[in-house]
Amino acid sequence: MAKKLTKTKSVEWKYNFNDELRKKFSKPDWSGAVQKIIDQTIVPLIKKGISPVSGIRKYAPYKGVAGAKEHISANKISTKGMNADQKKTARLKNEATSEHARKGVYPYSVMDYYPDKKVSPANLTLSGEMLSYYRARPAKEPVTIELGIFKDSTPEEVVKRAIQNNFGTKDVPARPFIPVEYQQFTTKITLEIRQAFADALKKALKR
Amino acid sequence: MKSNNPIVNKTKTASILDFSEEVGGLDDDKKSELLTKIGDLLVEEILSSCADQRSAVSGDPFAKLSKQYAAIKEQEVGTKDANLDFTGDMLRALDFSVKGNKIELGVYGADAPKADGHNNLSGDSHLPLRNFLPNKGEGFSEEISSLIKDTISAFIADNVSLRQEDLSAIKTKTELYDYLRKEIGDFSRTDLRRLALQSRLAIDLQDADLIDLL
Repeated sequence: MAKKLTKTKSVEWKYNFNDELRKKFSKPDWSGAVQKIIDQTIVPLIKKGISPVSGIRKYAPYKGVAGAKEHISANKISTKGMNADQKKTARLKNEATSEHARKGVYPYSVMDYYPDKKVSPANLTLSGEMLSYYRARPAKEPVTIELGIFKDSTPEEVVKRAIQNNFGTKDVPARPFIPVEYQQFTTKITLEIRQAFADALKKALKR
Repeated sequence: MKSNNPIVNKTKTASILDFSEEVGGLDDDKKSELLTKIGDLLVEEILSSCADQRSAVSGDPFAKLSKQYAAIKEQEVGTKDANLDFTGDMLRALDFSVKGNKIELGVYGADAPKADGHNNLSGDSHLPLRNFLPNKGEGFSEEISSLIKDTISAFIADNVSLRQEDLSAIKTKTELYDYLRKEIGDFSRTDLRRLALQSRLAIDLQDADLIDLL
């Protein structure tokens, strides 16, 4: 899988239309409609922890969480049979164990600053910055648009994060959100994109 | 689509969905291809419905969590949402397989009993019903059923070849739509136009100088 990309690009739709129809076809019409699909279908799906890339389904959970939970569970003091004072002491110890196990573990480590962040599902969303750069735009070729996070209009740090999330690293599992080579969007998203294409083509025919 | 008797055991909680009516006329390869698309769609839409705290079967909202369990979930996960996602393991075990005209759709492995707890396909669960797998005789929500139909019609349109000799005989809008209805299926003109324009049929019609009739 490519590790270095000049832009994270996906899905080119090409149809062999004649010159007259190509001239009348508005790529901005189509890309504008697809931007709405990104905003109203794709990004909300990602925020639910579900990949818009076909076959990926639910994103892999955050790596450290399972380890933290195991540690908490293994060291949990049962309060069964204890008196009130003993229960209070045990609860404090359990809380301290939890705090220690979660320290430095993402996303526990950021939840004070981002109160909306949940432990599950993993959803590529903290501030929303990366996904705000998920765009559709006309491509150079006729009757073609491109979707993705584009280096020429996105801060370098965000592009880097997008690549790390889409392809994974040794520390972060891959959580694809932009289909690349041989991949495609889910069935529902593909139906919507095709519908948007049909609408743009219908407008072109009327011009 | 018809839902047959489900399968419930220690490692499998699954619905059996019979698509004989929808795919009966296709050859085995096309049938398998279409049912695989539908299976993928169903998994995707079930995951999305659960995340929205809705039943993929009825479309209705899931019952809220009990106060006690909600407090535990909020502490552990950061939310009280009734979305069948505590660790995510059960929903990650959701999968399907295609067998002939049928799709077996379910939760497999160690989380299968959990799935029956929520779906009560066995009839033995005492938990509030938060179902995402149809029981015998049930279907999917209106939204999901509509997506299944759209998937099937788009697939048919993608696999139809319009013969140039037939197209060359067409002179009017009515003749065109009658022909498309015969080749693709008994859809309205609006749907036929949509299916033609979003598929390679548009090229066939353009080449036959018929695209302006749509």
